[in-house]
Amino acid sequence: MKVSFRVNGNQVELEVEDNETLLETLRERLDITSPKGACTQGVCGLCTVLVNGEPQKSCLVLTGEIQDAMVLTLEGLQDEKMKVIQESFVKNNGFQCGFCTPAFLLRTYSLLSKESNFTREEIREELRGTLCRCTGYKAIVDSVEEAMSRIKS
Amino acid sequence: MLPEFKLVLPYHLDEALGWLNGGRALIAAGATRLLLMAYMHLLKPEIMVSITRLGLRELKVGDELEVEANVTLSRIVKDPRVRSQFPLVAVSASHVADPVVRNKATLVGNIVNAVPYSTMVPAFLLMEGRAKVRGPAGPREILAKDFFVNALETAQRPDEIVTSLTFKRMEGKWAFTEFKSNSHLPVINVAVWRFNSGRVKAAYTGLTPVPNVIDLGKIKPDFRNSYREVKNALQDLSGQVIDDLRSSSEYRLHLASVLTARLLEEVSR
Repeated sequence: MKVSFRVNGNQVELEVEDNETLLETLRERLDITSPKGACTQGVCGLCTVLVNGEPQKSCLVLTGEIQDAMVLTLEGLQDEKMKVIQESFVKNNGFQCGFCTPAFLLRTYSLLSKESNFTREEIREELRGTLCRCTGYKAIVDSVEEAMSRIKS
Repeated sequence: MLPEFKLVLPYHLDEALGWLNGGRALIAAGATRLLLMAYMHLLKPEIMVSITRLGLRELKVGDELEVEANVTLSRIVKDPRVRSQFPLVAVSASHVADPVVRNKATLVGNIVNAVPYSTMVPAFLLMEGRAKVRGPAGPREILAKDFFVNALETAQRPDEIVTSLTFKRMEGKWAFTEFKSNSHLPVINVAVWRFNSGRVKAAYTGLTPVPNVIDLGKIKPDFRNSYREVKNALQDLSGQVIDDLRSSSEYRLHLASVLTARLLEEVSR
């Protein structure tokens, strides 16, 4: 089926399979590889992208359903806010192997775009649904906290 | 990889109903459960009828709460009117899956799928819910208490679409809890409602294949007493209690009784 939507600011028009997921379209047709396929069951959250500004697990999104949507991946988010978030993750060791990092950066970006006042407990709750098997999350929450206070000031 | 299926995206309800003729098509709104089951090859849809272009995105807050089929759980969790006027619905929704899945999964889907561990069903039953359904013969309504027939089976016919669900505004105090073991999916969900008269009702999912509501009358909130009374009241169901790898039936009965006794303390304060 034919579908057209915007990815990272570029309009794309594609012929896709009916059972094709957004994750497959991004990685295999558009060569956008920051979303990772790990569990492909909607659990790990490593395929997270922003669809119309909201985080979505792209393995649970059928490409045929997103006509006219606006899709953002890490590749398309290189503004000042993302720079601050990335620096905070580097400074606080918010990653080790890096496999989950694009997803956590996107979720932090989305979180701090709405509000910039969260307790540690709220940050943990808000980031649920994205798994990291290296850090034990403390360093990730530290990173989000620092990015939050830098963005506020 | 997902198995092959045909995806159709109708713009009108009648067109969508036309695709359901014959019963080999599945309705997809948020589709989070449907796609998960398809990935695991537990469901093999021939045709997936996406209702995402039908509108059905309204959330009406009045004497009752009406939630249309494409309203996501995130919208329920965040909506200030639902949070203040129908808090049991908002709190239950905040326990489903995680914040990202809730951006896609719908409230209606969580209920009409009729999975035995549904998080939203206890609220739907206690708050005298109704399902508004459209089929080839026109619209009809099904009461929550008549809706669930068996695990994964409801009074909705294969050629019908549930367009919205309603929850009645009620007086009294409520409480909700769930028990999850090692998974995102709950083993048991319990909601209780204490009416201003002092009468208490409790609703369960995860206990038996069909959800239950029990009337506990004017029960004393003392933990030991209410644990025993609830366990006695649930004994009638004991032959039907789910017994599987996740929890034995004995454990489910114990959990249901303990959790209800705790909630009774909460609503009696």
